[in-house]
Amino acid sequence: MTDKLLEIQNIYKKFYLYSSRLRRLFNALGLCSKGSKTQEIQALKDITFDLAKGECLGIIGPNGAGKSTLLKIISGCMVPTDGNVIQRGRILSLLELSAGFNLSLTGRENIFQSGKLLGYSIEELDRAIESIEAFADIGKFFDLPIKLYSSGMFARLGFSMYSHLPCEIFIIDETFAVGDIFFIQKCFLKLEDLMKQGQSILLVTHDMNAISKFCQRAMLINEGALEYIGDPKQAISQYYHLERSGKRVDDSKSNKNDPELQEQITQEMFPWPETSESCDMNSLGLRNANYFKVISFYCCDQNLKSCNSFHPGEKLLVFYEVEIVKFIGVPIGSIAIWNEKNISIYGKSTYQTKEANKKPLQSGQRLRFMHEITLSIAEGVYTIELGMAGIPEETLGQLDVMSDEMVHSQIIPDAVTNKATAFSVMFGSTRNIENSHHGLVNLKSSIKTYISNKE
Amino acid sequence: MSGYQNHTNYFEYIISAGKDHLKHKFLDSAGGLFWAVFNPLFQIILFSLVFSNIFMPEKTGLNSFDAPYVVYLCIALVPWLIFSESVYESTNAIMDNGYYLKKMPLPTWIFVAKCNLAFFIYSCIGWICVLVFSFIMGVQPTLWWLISPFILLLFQLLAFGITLITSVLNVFIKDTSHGTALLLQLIFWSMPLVYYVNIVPLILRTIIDYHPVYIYLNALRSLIIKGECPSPLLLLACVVIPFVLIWIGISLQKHMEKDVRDII
Repeated sequence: MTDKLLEIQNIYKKFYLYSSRLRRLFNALGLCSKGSKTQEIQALKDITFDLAKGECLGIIGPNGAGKSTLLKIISGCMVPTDGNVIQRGRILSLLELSAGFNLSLTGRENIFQSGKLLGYSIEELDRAIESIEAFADIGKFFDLPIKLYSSGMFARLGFSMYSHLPCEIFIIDETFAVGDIFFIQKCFLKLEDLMKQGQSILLVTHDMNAISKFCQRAMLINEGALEYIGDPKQAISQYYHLERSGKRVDDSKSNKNDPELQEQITQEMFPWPETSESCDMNSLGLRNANYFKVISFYCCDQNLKSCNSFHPGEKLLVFYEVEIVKFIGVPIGSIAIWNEKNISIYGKSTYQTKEANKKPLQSGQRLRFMHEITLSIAEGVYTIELGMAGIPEETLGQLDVMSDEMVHSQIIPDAVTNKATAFSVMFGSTRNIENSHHGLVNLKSSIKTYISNKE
Repeated sequence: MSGYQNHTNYFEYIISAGKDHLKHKFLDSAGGLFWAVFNPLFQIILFSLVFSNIFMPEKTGLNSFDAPYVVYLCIALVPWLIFSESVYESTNAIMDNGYYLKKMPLPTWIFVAKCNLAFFIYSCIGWICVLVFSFIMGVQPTLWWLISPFILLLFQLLAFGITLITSVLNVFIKDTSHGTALLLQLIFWSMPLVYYVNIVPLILRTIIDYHPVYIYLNALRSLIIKGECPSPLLLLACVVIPFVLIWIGISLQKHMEKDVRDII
């Protein structure tokens, strides 16, 4: 007896576009030739994977990658063009928020209506209704038509219903995006509980922390194809690389750096990532760059391995190399970190440190930068901004006596990109992480205490 | 494939959802049941005024049924009005329930069935009113009256068969529901519901006798007013036509399910 509850075998899905609906109808009736299809969209290509009992498998990928189509096929809401879905147990799919609810019915009526449609008996629904109501925690709204609900209430009702009905495989698609933080926490606790009970979970989300925390494996889908399946951290890292470069990841190709560049790297004493994947320079997009050309850009962990997923307190190393195209004085490189809400939480330029180059460079010369940042920041997803500028050598020598405004007036800005790459900071399963502060960033601070016993 | 549910659950759903459909259709509006009764009543009054007082058909000797015109009218018009509304609404059943179909692995036909069941319940209530009214108007009840609900059921199954087909077509061509409304008007006037069959040219009367929709309404009139059973051939047609249409409709729904789900 296999412990695989779900086997997805070579799933293909094509959508066809027709010149008219009438033509589509004739085609569906088998009255049209194959040539009548005007356009073919390959939504899924040869997807094969399985899901073991009690396993949580995360599915990530950019928008339009085919995640929801895959879930709809697994749920039976869509028919694949080719391939098989073998299920051993009841599947419950919470696909998006409204979960197949009728707006004119109350929350309670919808539970019974949808429950019956999903194949549950009245007795089963009667048994579950109290716990569903308690978990949803929407008060009197439970007995009001759901057209009056907010999106958060929809999420509460949907998740509450689906998570309290018995099933072997639970599919969740993007339901954590709405709802307040307390509800999200409650949902994750419930998911943990379900996994302990042996339920298998397929989780589609853009919340990389959730993937990292809850999934034993994660799969990355891009342009309908399975790019990677395995370690969640690796899947997340590949996802960020994909998001930033806008291209498909191919390890065998992306690890082949320019041999000439590799030779130079080993000759330098300056630490430099040897096998990491550099970002695609074209997509890095330094806007209005007249003085610089970015040769390479790496986002690494402290082992100089390409990495986009960190734990709080870990070191992020940003490496980049530029070539001077036109003389601009002393080149300045700066890195800024922005959070999901587009708030800059950190920024530093080379002129603000003593160790960086202080000499002007001529055109054709190259300069490498290594920016080491201790990530004493909150969990979340961040983007890195790379900026390049120049400053006269004389100004650098007078920084101590110049005001900020004066320094800024001397800087010749050249180019900036606000999406060099993205990374996430999340708590790991080992919990071996820095616990240095609360809040967004760990500010330079000190705490002193004094025992003031009453004399 | 994934569909895990069995048909017993679907039937449970169809029955409860059919009742809910009626409840929300009539009881949730401010006028409640008033509108459910008023609409057909208004049409009956209107047709009665126009045809019995203006054209005075009883005096022309055209009435082959020994009953007041208003009874003659009601027996066919009430089931027809509910039938036509049922066909119109059920044609939209798949599109109207897209929110279920997008997110649950359900067969499309259950929504058509639910809608038709709701109208069958509505039709039964309407029919009881018609029988009571006929009795008040002096029509003597016979044992044949007991057969009439079965004709009514077959009539609703005819609507189910038709709408299994039109509901799928409506997914592909949105104009289907508009076309259906137009066709229902044509069918209405092609049958002697508000006029007497005797005013129709003789050559057309034979066609009307085998009119696939009128055979049910004519059967109801024969049972209630004349106290006669329709011919076995017509009864056979009343049974066979709906089931053939249902078979075609279910086959069509299965055949086109993949495309229907892609479109929805």
